[in-house]
Amino acid sequence: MTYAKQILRVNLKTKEWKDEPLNLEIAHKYLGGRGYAVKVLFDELEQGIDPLSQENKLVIMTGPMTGSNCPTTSRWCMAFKSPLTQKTLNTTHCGGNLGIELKHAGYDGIIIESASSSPIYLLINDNSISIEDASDIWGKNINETQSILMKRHGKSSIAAIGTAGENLVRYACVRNENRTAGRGGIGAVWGSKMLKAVVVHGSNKLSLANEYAYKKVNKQFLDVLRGHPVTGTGMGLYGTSILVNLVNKHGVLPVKNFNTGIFSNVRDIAGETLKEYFVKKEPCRGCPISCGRKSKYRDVETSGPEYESLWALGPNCGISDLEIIFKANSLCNDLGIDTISAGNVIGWFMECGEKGLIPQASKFGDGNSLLTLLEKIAKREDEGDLLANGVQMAAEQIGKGSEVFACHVKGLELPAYDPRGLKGMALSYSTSNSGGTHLNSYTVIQEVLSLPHFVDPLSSTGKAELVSNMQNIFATIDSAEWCKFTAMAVFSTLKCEVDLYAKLLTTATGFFIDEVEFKKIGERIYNLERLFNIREGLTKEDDNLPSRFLDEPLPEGPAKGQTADIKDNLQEYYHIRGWDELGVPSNRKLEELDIEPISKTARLQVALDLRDLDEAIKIAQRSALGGVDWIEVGTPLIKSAGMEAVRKLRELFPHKVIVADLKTMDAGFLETEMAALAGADVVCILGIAPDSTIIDAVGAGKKFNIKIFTDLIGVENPVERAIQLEKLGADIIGLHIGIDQQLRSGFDKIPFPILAELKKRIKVDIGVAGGLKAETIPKAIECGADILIIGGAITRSANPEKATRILKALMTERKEK
Amino acid sequence: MITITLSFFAFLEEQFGRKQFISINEPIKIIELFRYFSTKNGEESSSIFLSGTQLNNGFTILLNGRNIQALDELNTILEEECEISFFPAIAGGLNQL
Repeated sequence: MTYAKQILRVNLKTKEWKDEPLNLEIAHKYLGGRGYAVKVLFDELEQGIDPLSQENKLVIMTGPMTGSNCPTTSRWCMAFKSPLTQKTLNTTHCGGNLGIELKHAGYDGIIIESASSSPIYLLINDNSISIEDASDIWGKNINETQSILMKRHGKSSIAAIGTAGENLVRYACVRNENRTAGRGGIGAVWGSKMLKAVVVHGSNKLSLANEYAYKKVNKQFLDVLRGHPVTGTGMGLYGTSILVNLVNKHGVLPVKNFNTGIFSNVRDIAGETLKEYFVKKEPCRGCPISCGRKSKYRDVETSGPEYESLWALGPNCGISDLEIIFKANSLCNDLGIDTISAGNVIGWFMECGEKGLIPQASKFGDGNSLLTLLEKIAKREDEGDLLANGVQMAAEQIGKGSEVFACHVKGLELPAYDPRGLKGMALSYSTSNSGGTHLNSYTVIQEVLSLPHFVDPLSSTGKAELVSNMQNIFATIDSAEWCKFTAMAVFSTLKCEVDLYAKLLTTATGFFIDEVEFKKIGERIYNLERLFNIREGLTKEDDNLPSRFLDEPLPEGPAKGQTADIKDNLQEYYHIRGWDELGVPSNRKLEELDIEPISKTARLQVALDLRDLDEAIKIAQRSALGGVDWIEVGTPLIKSAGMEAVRKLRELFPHKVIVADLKTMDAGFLETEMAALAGADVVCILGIAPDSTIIDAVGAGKKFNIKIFTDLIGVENPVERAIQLEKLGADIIGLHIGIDQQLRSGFDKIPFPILAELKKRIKVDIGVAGGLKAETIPKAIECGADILIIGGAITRSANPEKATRILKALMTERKEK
Repeated sequence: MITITLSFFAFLEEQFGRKQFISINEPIKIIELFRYFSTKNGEESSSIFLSGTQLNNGFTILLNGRNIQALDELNTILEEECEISFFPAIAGGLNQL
């Protein structure tokens, strides 16, 4: 498999490091790259930490495709709590060679903890690790730093920060060779740890799980990329700057801090013009698309400039002078500043100048001021200190209504597409887990590029589904570490097919990943990032756009008169995602994705062991108001009303986990399938059923995405059988004292010692059913119950809502102790 | 007299120039505009964009910035002065020429 199966953990304070095995279970569920890094940070970061404190961690990760010869996979990423947004967990990707070298050195990733008290850099040469003194390069910018380290260490890949990172500019970036990990302030996180550079050389080779099959699929992938007009010819010929004219014609190229969407001097900076100043291609290693390039205008030579940088440092500041833009781009690359955030915050500053809110502020179109401001930002000098904190914090500091035109989402500055004229991008921005980025979902592909088919940019119809689907798929692409440009060629309909990616992953890693699993991995990652943000205090109110886009219609062009009201689309989006109306992932969704809730508390399941469906529904509705987590369609109810009972409750409670208590004793596959198709999330199979029935039910569970609850009712040796059932693949074990048994032996006969023993011996969740009531709940939780199944105490109560609320409160109190 | 501005981008610009102007006496459909286009640029020129009466894949045509697919596609009627922009799929598509 293409994993190195090893993670390096480095503590910069103690200067100690150790090798840890790659957690293959996490790799299976989260793949690598963004997914693996997000999982590590979700588990290891304390809520509420300051992103620039030593408590923040930095995860450098490769993906399973990094270092394979698959096209566009030189990529790697870094995840961290963002100092710019201060709350979100951001991941930034880079096409430089560091990832390949790291993988060849025998590591899938590096977890960097704590902070050094003096400047250092991390040196990795295969198995040789050292933390080196960086005093001599601290204070130098990136070009010089890379040059010194290259001379010192020879053949290796170097990622470094410039002075902006050292000075904790909240949108400082990291450069790796000529490519940038740009967004969210990763450079400031390095600076806060006094980590100047990471230098890596590796010489090991990677192996593929199924080389023969992989080569066949890889050739197919390469043919798709080469045969497509965008990835085969267009991007290589013009680079990303070819987007300038097309976006401008659509009226969504933000000009002068998003005041309008049409740039009158567009020709000066368009890709067709830049082609005249092309020097050479600078592709990422092994990339057939080759969008990267070097250009030279008069005496200024620079990488790119990429579309986003051209826009940010050009039209967004009212500048069309290519010499200024080239110089500014070159400066950002050397100082280590994210061009998007820099151009955005300077555009805001210039608008403050135009409006007289900051008397000394420059005005739109002042190119020399742009260059001076970039230097000042990197040094945090004068007004540069204000601007170095990003547009959200700067606007909060200045006030005077400047927050209205501070163009960010969740604190991350918006990129080069006006959301008023692109309804898909409006939703993409507002629901992005990392804030104002186009890289979580890029509906420009459909809305502007008409790939694979045209989708009307001014219509909201279908956008919620498109955005959520792309967010999931891009999360998996980011975790494998492909370049997202490949998607333009790979998607053949609006369903965004991922079959080719899935085959590549399967043959490279040996994990079986089909299209369903590919999308599920991404969905899992997206939901975990969402939970991280919720834990940090973000709410539905943060899924929004700045006032400028809500209240000020675009003044001209094809989208004239449009605003970006996303309210209706947002509810549809939440619904598609299986989140509640407040945008919180439902327990049902988390169960489906195998994600533990933020604070895992025992769940309350109401057992509707009734005959009458209407009565059961009424009780379920009252119990839901009281906060019940799971709703069980009891066996008597199913025998009375059939699977219609499951269907009806599914329909009425879309966010609750629905349990179908079929008590299956035979035909495990068929009955599990029936429950799943009726909409159940969990089906109950009897634990005393033959192993063959359990195995068939588990197989159907995997196929139809439904959990298998095995009920130990009537089992003579419950602990022994529970261990067997877990091995057979059961998701939940239920310790159950039946009603008849309760009637004869009393209602307080819950076998707590057995429950405690089960907790020690099995890992899967344990449900407890049979006579539970207020007095016994604390004991049940103490002994390890994960699901408390309660029937009569709720269903026979005069007030099921109140009864549920009391039981839930008891469970919560228990947790707080 | 109605003047229609045709704007070409990426490699299309190299072939047809940055802009062309076509004058018509009465409103016409976009599909009919290609007749004028062929007259101006040679018989085969329209075949870059059209196969019979169908728009070829790989091209985006905008009427005053709106994709004609959001309008009435090739049957969209041009009634007044306007700009038609022709883009190859973000600049690719040379292999289709």
